[in-house]
Amino acid sequence: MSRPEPILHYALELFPQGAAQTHFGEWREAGVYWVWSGATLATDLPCIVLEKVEKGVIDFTAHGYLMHPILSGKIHHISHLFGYWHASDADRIWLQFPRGEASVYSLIWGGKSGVHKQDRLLWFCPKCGNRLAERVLDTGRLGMEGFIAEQLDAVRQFNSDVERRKCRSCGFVHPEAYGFYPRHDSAVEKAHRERW
Amino acid sequence: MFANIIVKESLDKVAGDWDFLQEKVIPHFSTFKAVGQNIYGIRRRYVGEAGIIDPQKGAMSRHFEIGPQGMLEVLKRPLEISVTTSGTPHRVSHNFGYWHINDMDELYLRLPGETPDALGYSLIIMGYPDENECDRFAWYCERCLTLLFERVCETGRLGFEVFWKSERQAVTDYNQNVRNRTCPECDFTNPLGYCWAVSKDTPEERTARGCW
Repeated sequence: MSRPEPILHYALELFPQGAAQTHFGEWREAGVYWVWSGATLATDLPCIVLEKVEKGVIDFTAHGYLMHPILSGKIHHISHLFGYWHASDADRIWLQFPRGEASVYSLIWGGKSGVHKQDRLLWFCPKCGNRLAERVLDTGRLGMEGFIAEQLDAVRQFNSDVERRKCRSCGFVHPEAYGFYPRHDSAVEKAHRERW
Repeated sequence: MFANIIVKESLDKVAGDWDFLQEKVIPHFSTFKAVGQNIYGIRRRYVGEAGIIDPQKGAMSRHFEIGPQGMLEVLKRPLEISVTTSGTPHRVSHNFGYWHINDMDELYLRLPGETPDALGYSLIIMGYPDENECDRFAWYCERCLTLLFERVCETGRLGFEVFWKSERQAVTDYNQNVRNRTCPECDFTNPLGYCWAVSKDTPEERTARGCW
């Protein structure tokens, strides 16, 4: 797999005028930041940030413009975007804004020196919040392409073992997970991306 | 899917300033504010194809950088994330009258308002500097780009809160002697420098703000 060239300009337009190439929908390195963009139409299921706290899960549903900081160590999930809970050692910024009939999203990740080395992917029981599984990724060594591959591998390992997905506390079986890019989804993963 | 464990209390109660673009939150970022690992500046400005219009400063869409090829104007289009990489001298005409050199990457994004006549958002995000990382205020000859004057602000060691005081001191030091502004190579004399905040302008600095 060829490594995408780092860039300094990333258009958040679905169809940028005059651009020879669009990065829309893709992770790209822009300086020390990692940047991703996406969009949903009014008929699509919206992307919503959820954060896990001691009391339960906070739902950051918002309409129109939103700029939400996801600080390092914060366990978060973005519905329909990635099928796991994520905690990074680097801050993330979630942006949302209206563009005609669409909601455009961007995730900006990193910025500080010496971080963006490690990520944790986690799964919690949707019924009682009990922790079910965890995978630690050595992102500093893996780089962007390695991170994308490893998170999908972690998802498939979680999906492959129903015992891993069964809550030891309440017995609920967690539905299957899915990775970051829809183009990598299996049929089962695609179905569950639409579910959670 | 997580309905059973959703926290029922209001977002403002459980998450504080959870949306930086809320009208009541934006004023916290009117200069720069550190949150977590980044420093944020958020301004309400008119953002359109014609450029960026600040209600106070007017048109300010020309962004310049100095690189290995010399000085170039960098187009910062609406709806485009762009990054000025660490160590790159950069300035925005009529916005701040010096070349800023940051040890951290600076990420810019301009979002238009919902309608053409609505204010949009101008966002600047940069990493919080570590112990040995600094900001610099520099002036280069406008004709031949010789470095004329520079002040270092140790934002990493001293904390970012020293930035504005340091900026004022650097501009004052530069402006106080015409020799600081005169190029030893080509003898050209630069206009005066000025600070980012319009409210800090002396009458002479206000005139200079209109020039460059």
